[in-house]
Amino acid sequence: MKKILLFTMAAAVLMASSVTFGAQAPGDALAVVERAVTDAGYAFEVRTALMAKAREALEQGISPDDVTALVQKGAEQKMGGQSTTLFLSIAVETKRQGLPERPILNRIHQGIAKGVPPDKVLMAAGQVKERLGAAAEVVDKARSQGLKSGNADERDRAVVAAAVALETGFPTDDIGKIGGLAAQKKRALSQFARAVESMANLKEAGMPRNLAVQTARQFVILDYSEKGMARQEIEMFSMRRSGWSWQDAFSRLHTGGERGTRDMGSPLQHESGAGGVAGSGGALPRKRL
Amino acid sequence: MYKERELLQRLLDGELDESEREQMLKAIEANPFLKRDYKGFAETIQALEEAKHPLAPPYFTAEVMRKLPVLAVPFWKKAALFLFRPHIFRLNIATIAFLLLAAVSGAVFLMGRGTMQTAALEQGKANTVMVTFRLQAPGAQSVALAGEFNKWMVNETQLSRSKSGEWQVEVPLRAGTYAYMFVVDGRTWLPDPDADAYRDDGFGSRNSVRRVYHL
Repeated sequence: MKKILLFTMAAAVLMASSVTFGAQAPGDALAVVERAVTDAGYAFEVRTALMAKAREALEQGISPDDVTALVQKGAEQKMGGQSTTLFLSIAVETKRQGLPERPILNRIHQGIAKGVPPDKVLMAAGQVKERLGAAAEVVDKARSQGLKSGNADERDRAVVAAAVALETGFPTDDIGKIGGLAAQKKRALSQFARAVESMANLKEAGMPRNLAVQTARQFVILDYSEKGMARQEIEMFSMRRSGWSWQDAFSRLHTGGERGTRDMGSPLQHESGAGGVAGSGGALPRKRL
Repeated sequence: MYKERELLQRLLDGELDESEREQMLKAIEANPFLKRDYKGFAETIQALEEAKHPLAPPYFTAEVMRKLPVLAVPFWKKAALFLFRPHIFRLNIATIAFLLLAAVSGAVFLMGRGTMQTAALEQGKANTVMVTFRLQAPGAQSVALAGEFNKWMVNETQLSRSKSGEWQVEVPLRAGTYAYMFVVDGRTWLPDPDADAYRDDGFGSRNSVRRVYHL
């Protein structure tokens, strides 16, 4: 009888463990890492340190796919085990500080793929981490001021959006003001994140910074949904391609505008309408060249 | 004496016919020793018949067998015995309840897992948009796409070449903004001339940017 109970409990533990781990279990990832590290022929100390860091990264919740990809690419590019250990360290440190690690991993993956020297990859990853830290401060401040808090994923998304905005050239103050306004208006964290994403997208497309900030403010004030903001963004790109100035495109956002036949006056109309998708060039889901 | 004892035994067992029975009863009446024995046996039989008859528990034989000394047998034989010998299990209510709970939990888990995986897959498909990337590179031997959507893997997303020399690939992407580059012949990194925007790559160059909307 005891044997049956033990079997049952073991089965329960196995089932529970299979729920915890996704497509690639940390155990599998460690085996892949170990193979890559062994094949790379690193010195014993380097190998030990890299394995320990890989284990720590997995324990911190960094995706097994990312950990294995970093180690394998590092070995393929002959970057040296110490560099790979440092790459994992900065990702672990970022995660430990409660910051989203995805942008750091993206920068590292990119650097390795492009054959950038490891010290420059590390420096670039460090800059991304600094921006994420600054972005997190802004986001958390807005949350403390009354922004409707979302879950951890939504917070990460908002932090990444703010970090991208910082990288695009917006000062912390601009993002902080959008956050303060969103908090004052009791908007959702996801709305704030989307407004900041639009702000960065518009500036990246050439809109002057102040106008991009004003656009994001209008999105918050007029209580646009995420899809509503996306539609407006597409519409503004389309207008710009049609020869409108950014100022005119912005004016249409909250006045109804003077030119053309598009009706952009009400956020509600944009929620239900399909305007802004067709003919918006690069903004189309399926790009047409 | 032996003959009388045998007859007494048969009398008690009801095996004598009527005449034998009468003769025997007379003989008992005449012999005080026989009479004492007959009375003692009759009372014992009556007491036994009136007494309760407890049944041996069903596992009694198995318990007795289990307590017998075990001979040294090889492991494979033990295993075969364990597998093929009939077993008698004693289960209490708590154990039965636990086993039932484990079975039901397992079934629910397996069904739920399948449903969740299917739902996640469907959700993932529903939230993605097929985005086409194109590059005019008639002289290229191979063109790959590397970007934030594939961990900048140079060999993961290969473009196909058309007769006109245009390379193209469709990639399922969720809504968002993605940095990417084309990799021509496995070594030359090229920006997309038709990108939605361009962004500093952090290493002194510029990546192409594609915005994906899911409305």
